[in-house]
Amino acid sequence: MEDNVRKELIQSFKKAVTLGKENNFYVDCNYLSKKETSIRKDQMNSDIGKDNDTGIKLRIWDGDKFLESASSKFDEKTIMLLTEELIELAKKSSITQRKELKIDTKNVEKSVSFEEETLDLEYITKTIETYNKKIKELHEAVVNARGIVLQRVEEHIFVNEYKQVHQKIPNSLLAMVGFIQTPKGESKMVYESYVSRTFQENLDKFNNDLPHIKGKIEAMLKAKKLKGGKYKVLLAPHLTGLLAHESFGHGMEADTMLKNRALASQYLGKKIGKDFINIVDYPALEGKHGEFYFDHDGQEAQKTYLVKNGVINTPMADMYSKTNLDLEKSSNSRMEAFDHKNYTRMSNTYFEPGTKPWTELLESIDDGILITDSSGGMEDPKGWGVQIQGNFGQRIKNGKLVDEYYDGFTLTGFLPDIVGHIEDISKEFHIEGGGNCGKGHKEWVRVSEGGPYMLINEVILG
Amino acid sequence: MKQEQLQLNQKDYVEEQLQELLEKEEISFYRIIDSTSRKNNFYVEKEYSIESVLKSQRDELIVTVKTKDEETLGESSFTLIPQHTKEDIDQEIKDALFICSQSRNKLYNEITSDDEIVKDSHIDYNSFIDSKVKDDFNNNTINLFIEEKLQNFKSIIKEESSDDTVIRLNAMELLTSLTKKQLRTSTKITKEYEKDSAYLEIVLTAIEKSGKESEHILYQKINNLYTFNYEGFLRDAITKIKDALHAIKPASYEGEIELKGTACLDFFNPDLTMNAYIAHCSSRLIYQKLSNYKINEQAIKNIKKDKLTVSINPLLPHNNASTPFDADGIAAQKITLINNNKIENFFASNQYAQYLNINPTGPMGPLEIERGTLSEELNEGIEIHTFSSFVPDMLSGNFSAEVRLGYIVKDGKKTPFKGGLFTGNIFKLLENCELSKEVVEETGYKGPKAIKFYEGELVGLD
Repeated sequence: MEDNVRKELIQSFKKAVTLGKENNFYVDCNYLSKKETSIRKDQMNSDIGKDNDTGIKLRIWDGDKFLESASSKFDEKTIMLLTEELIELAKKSSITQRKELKIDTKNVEKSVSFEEETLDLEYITKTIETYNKKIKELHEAVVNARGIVLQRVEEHIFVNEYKQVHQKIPNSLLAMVGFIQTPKGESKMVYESYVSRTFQENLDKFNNDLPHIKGKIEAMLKAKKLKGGKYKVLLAPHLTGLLAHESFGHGMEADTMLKNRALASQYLGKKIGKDFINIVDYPALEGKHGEFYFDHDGQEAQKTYLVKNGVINTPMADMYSKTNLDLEKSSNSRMEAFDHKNYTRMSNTYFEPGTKPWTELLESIDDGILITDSSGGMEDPKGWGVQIQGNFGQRIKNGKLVDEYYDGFTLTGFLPDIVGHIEDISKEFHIEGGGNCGKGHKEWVRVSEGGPYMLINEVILG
Repeated sequence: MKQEQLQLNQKDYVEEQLQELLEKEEISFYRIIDSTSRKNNFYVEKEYSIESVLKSQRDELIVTVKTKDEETLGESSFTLIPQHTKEDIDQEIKDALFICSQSRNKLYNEITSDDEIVKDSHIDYNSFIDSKVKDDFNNNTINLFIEEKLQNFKSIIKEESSDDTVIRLNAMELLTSLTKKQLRTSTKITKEYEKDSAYLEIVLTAIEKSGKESEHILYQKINNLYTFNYEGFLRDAITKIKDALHAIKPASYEGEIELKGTACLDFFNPDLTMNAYIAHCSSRLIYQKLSNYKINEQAIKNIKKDKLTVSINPLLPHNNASTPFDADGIAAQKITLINNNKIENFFASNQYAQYLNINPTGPMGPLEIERGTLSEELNEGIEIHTFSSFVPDMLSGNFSAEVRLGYIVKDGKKTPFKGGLFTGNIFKLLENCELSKEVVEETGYKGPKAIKFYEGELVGLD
């Protein structure tokens, strides 16, 4: 968005907020623009597209609930018309005793903007073509190879009585996939994905990993079904991140607690694991998939310790939950797009690192599984169940990785059992993953995956 | 705003520019999808209080342009929003032409208004929209229906609660939308349709005198807002939540496993992916060498019991997943993919149909699966009603899903359980299964209400 257009939009938003105030109502305004250029290229097909999801949302607090109006039109006339409609609606609400919203009254006028990578499509498509060819040549079992590049820019403006904030965050995702066919005719895939500020940065990381991909293809060809049961596991950073996310990530969302849907609300201040267990949500991690500097309630990004020294600590929250649960600052209000509701959402959620090298954790395992890849998970904040599925793993025997592989299995169990069995974590710490997180089965927002390696003494795989 | 605003004239301007490029032969084809989507969403938290009400309108033009030479075709799409200026549109078209030069695929011919496959006299366009929903959107009266439903829910929940077990509604979301889409192409195809859709999510908690609690989440895409059986939906949820209060941890088990309710629906029509036997019928996967399916061959090897007959039917009346035409303008029709376990057709867009020299099939729409032979209730084994999330690998067919609610059946007596993993391979399981005689219709699915696998596996929590 050009500077002059942005300034005019902010002026219109300020007029809407003032009109609300003149009528004794709190009004806030969000502009959210998500632009994406996607390049998907395999050895048979090429697909390049541009997407633009842009609009505004205005909210008014009638003393009991938010009345919201969203539009893909955002000229001043539309903004003022929507504001007037909302004020009329709020006046009609029969609220006898208005509840005061818990608003952060610190005045903030700030813009955080990162330079966009100049998109050289010709270079990107030619590079993907070259690397697809390299993947195909790695092994005769590879039937096709695909490169996926998502170049995204998210721009956001929030205005209320106290805040006038703007952020522009470019982000690049690269996924390289090799499709293989086993001698039995089964189709499988091997992939690596990276997230950073630029395509080039991701490509450099893939170049480092390329020599290992042949081994990964061979391992996938040998992979067999894992016999269900309890195992000692070493989780790679991607998996540790998923565990943080599905366990005390979703379980510590205040809007879930408000609806009596999170068991963790009964355990606030209680110890659930060893002293070294710290789970954090921190949006302001530069170049990571869940990066932002202001949430969609205008709150400045801050680190929230969900679990500190093994004790369940502070929930993440949005404005509505803060108001109803009397919680302090947290920067976790997010909406999927401009025409969606704000919910309490995670950003970059991870276990903090430990002090030992990961190899020391590996060497301590007599018989277990190193789990390196996964396709996703599902939360159960009320029942404290965990599901992390589509995993790929390698057997560990006598402290060494052996030539035995498993795929397509799921990690599950009762959360306190899993957390209680966490034995150690590594000093190595990597956040590379770029996933999308749903609230249940919808409301997708970008989050990252990663953290340290983690040794768990006993967990159910099947 | 200082820049020239087009808004109302935007559509004409885009089409004029594209027409000019077509005449100069700088492009070979264009397509405009003109879409307006309105939402009316209600979010309710515990004690039946409304947390927020969201209204929105999203207007967008999704433009596709193509360029061709003797052997290849380039394609690019972009989205225009009302705020785009004349300069923005010129830039988007310029970028699209460049993308076309980078994204080259094997040449194929465009569908024109003269082609038989676009003729749609067999389609009842009124079957995609409920006129009452449309009227209520226009008159802003949907909220009256929601308020009435909330009162109904309140009285049912009160009726189902007892001194021993209290039932609570912890959250409810009812999201309604009305979409109008018009397709215009340079090959003189002009079509449009209107469609309504709704989504309901209910979270219930059951609390025993002892303080023991259980939670059940039901989410459903609703085919018809006014005729949907809300009472049946709620009472079914209450039965399940009461059962969940007494759920035990399951032991590992191998043998007969029957999927019912949402578990059966998730198996046939998973939310986030395709079932593997459907994915392998994709012409795109065939062309990309990722599927080994061949016409007239068996879909599932070594079938012992019921054989699958699977169709795609985008003409199922008032089904949310139904749609009258695809992006190429090809009219919807019912297509049988697998007939009595024999692969009969691949679903194909115009592009992949021409690559494989088969007929294009139009939009996918809901899956229709023929009923089977199963009529008796399970006497001994495992019944699964709800998964946490069922996301099979669509290439290999491997899956492993955590059970949210199931029953251990012994001598016809059912004991509820929660947790454990239903694991296996879809192709393998379908070799030895029975489909129920009774069928259900939900969004995206019409088919058996239950499926019984004779060689199922559950990894327990023991």
